[in-house]
Amino acid sequence: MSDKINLTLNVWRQKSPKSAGKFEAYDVKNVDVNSSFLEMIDVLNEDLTKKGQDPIEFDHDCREGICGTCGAMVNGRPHGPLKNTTLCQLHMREFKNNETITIEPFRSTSLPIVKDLVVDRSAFDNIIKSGGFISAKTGSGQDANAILIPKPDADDAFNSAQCIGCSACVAACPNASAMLFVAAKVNHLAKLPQGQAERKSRVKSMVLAMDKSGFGNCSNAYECEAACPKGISVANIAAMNKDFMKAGIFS
Amino acid sequence: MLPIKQYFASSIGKKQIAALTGLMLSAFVVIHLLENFLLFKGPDVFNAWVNTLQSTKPFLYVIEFGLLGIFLLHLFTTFKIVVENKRARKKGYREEVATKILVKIMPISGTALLIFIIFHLIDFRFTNHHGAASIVMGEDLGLYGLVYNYFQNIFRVIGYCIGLAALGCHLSHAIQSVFQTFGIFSEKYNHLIKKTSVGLATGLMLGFSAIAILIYLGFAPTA
Ligand code: HEM
Ligand code: FES
Repeated sequence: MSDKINLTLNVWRQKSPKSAGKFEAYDVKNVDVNSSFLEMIDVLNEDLTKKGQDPIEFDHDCREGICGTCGAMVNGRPHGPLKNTTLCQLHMREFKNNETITIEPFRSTSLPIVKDLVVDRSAFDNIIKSGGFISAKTGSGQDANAILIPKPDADDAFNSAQCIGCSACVAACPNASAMLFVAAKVNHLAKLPQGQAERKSRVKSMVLAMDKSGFGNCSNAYECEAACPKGISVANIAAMNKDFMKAGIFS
Repeated sequence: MLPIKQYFASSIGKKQIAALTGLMLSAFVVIHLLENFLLFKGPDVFNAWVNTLQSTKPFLYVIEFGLLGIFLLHLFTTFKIVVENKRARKKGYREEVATKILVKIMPISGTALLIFIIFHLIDFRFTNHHGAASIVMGEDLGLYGLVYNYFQNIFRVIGYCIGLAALGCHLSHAIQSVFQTFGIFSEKYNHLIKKTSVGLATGLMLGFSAIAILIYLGFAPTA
C-alpha cells in the first residue's frame, strides 16, 4: 500500500556563498509516503530540471544514516522531527497531507553556505586535523586482545565514536557552538588506552582549533543533544570541560 | 599547561570564569538573604549586625571591592561570550529552534539584574543611613528605618520584586550550568542538581520578595 500526500515546501534558495538568498515556495503533489525526505526532493528536482530551473542543491552520500553528509533544518529542527534520525532516514510518512514544510540550511558563520542547502564543513575537518587522531605506526594490526579495555569504557568510547560529524549540533545550538562534536571526538579517544599518549595535547589543540574557527560558546542549553541523530550525550561536553581544565591548568 | 592568558581566553576558560564568578556572587546573595531575615528581629538586632559589619572597616572595604571586582569580571566575560555567540550565527532561522526560554534570556535577565543592582546600591548602599529617610515614628532607626520606609511605597515593592524575578530566572539555569561547565555530570545525580538549581533560585526570589512585601504589609516590628 502506498499513500500519496501533497505538500508545500518553503525552501531556502541561495545561488552562491556571497549572494543574498531567499525562500521559494514549491507545491509538490503525490508524494509517496514511503519515500525518504531526500527522495522527495529528488523527485521535485527532476521536475525543476525538466522545467529548465535550477534543482535544489543538497548534500548526501550514503543515504543510510552513517556518513553525516546530509542535513538541513526541517520546520526548525535539524534533520527534521524524528529523534535520532538523519535527514536521509526520515520518511514522508512523518508528514501530514497538505502540510507546509520549511527547509533551511544549517546556519553558522563557521560552516558557511555554499549553495541552497549545502554548507562547507571544512572547519570540522580542521578541528580533526588539529588532534582528532592517534599517532600510531602503520603496519599490520596487532592482536585485538593485546590491549584489554573494560567493557564500560569500550561502550562509552563507542557511544562517542558514533558521531558522524553532520553538524546538526552546531545548527541546533542557539550560539552555533561546536562543543558536542568536538567533545564526542575528544572523548572517543580519551576513553581508550590508545588515546592516552596524546590525551592532553589533543584536548588543548582541538578546543583551540574550535575557538579559532569562530564557533560560539556553550551555554549548556543542550539543544545539540536533542538534535543529534546519533544521540550523543552532553556528558561528553562535561568530560571535555574537565579534561581541558586538567590539561590546561593542572599539568 | 597552557599560558594562563590563553587558557582564560579560550571558550571553555571564559565559561569557567563566568561560572566561578557567578557562583561567588550567588554565595553572596544567599548570605545577603540571611542577613535580611534579621529585619524581622526588629531594629535593634538588625542595626547591631550592621554596626558589627561597619566595625570591621577597613576589612569591609576589602570585601566590598572584592565583590565589585568579581561582579565586573562576570559582566565582562559574559559580555564577551554573548558577543561571540551572536557573531557565530549572523543570520538566524525563519523557524527558530525551540531553545529553553530561561537559557535564551540569560543576557536579558542578566541586564535586568544589572539595572536592578545599580538602583539597589544607590537606594541602600549610597544613601545616608541616618537622617530624614530613616525616621520611623519620630525615631531615627538607621539602616533599618531606611529599609522600612523604602518599602512603604507599593511601586518600590513591585520594582524590587521584578528585580528579584530577574535573579530567579538568571539563577534557575545558571547554578545547574556551573556544574556542567566544570565537568560535574552524573546520570544519577543530574536531576538533583537541576532541582537544587531551580529550587535555590526560586527560594532566593521568594525570600527577598517576601521580606519587601511583609514590610509593606506592616509585619516588620518598629521597636
Ligand atoms: C547577582 C548577580 C549575578 C549572579 C549571582 C550571576 C550568576 C551567574 C552564574 C552562576 C552563571 C552561570 C555560568 C555558567 O554558565 O556556568 C551566570 C551566567 C551568565 N550571567 Fe550572570 N550573574 C549575575 C549577574 C549578571 C549580570 C549583571 C549579567 C549581565 C549584565 C549577567 C550575565 C550573564 C550571562 C549572559 C550568563 C550566561 C553565560 C553563558 O551563556 O554561558 N549576570 N551568571
Ligand atoms: S546521507 Fe549519509 S547520513 Fe544522510
